Amino acid sequence: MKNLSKIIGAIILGASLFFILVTVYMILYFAPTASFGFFAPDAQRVFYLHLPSAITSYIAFSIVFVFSIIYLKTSNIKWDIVALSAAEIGIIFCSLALVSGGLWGKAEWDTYWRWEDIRLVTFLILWLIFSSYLGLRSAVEENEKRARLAAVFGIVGFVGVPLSYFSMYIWQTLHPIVISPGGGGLNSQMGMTLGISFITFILFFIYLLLFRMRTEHLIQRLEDLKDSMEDLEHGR
Amino acid sequence: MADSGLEFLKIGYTAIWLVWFLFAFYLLLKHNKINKDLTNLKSVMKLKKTKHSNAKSKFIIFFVVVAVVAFSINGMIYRTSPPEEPFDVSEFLKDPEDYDKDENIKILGTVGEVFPGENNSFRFKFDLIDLTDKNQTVLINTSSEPEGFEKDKKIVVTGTVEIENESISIKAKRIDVGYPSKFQKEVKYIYIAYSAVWLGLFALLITLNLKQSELEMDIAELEEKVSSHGRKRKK
Repeated sequence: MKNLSKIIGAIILGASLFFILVTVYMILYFAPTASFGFFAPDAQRVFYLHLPSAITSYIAFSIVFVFSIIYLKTSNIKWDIVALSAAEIGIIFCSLALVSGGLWGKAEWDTYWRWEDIRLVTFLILWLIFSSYLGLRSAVEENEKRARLAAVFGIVGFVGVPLSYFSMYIWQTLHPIVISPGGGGLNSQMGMTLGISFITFILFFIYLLLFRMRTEHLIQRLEDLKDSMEDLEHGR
Repeated sequence: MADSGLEFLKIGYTAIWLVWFLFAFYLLLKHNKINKDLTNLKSVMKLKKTKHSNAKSKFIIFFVVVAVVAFSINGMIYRTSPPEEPFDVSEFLKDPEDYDKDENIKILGTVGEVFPGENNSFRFKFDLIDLTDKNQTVLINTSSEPEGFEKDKKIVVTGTVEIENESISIKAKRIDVGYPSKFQKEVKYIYIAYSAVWLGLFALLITLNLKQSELEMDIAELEEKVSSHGRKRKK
């Protein structure tokens, strides 16, 4: 069983590396330069990393939500480990979306940030919510209490995901709508590049999630070992 | 179109891999902490440092194979679907009747005369630019004059074919001044640098994977030792 999980891990790692190299190639060579509607057409290529980063962070925070509920139901620490790992990686993807979006905005709009863009503001709120989630975890010492508090926070904080995702459909926003029933103005090569980039980001996310969970399991086993050794020392 | 945003593309890519390297460094610190704790526990149990079977060579082979396969497939994509290159205006002029109205086109030419055209309903000024080649002319309709645009400059026009009263012109959606562009000149270096950075990041992650496997084996060994001590104590 352990060998199987290692093989699966290696396959996902290999596939991630493979798809990342293909994605970089497709972004730079395969995708055409955005020929219409962009002031900075070269900077538009950041978009193929920006959008998948944002969507992957939504997926990560949704995992936090689901596994926080499962933890509260079962009180099994392994589900808390899944939620923690997903939150950490989700924050990384969320940060990438913010950084890449800011740079693209500077090239395209001549400003890194626009407070009047509801999508940007709600996405920043999402980042703040899950940064606070991680901050909360590091502030509480006791394992069980930390897991319970974090689970409640993760469930409540999830409200930021639909709020951010649907913000541009609910309120009028300056943010461009790329994925829509009409295709959002992407031609087939652009769409294909975006699709491959999505696959890459999801694979890389799965790999990192598994890796991070394994690390947290090791920490947990070490903690258990420390307790057992203390028990032995005190003759219990 | 003064700045195509190439610098921001490069900064964006740099920022992205920097964030990943910081995360990999964070994971590295986590593993070092586990390693340190494990070494302390081992010394309490008087366990010697374990020598693990060398899986490094297998991982290196795996890494190289994946990288080679990825680059080969990239090469195949390039061969089957090379980047869209503009064709010379003289090609267009050989048989302009071959083109249909509203057909997409991307042509390369040298700017001839620039003269004002008609205003359209959106009140943008339309210029008619003449791409001259061997005394023949193609007229380009454009709503604005791009930066650096002047007579005798090489330009790439992306747009659609317009046919009106047997006269053929091109309605420009985009005009790039200068060919090859800065992006086209630098793209291969960006590609090599960015691929190399990702390979570096994966090499780091694979090293961490190896470390994790070794730590797992060490912890399992220690768990076994502690439980056997516990059993002896109970007897």
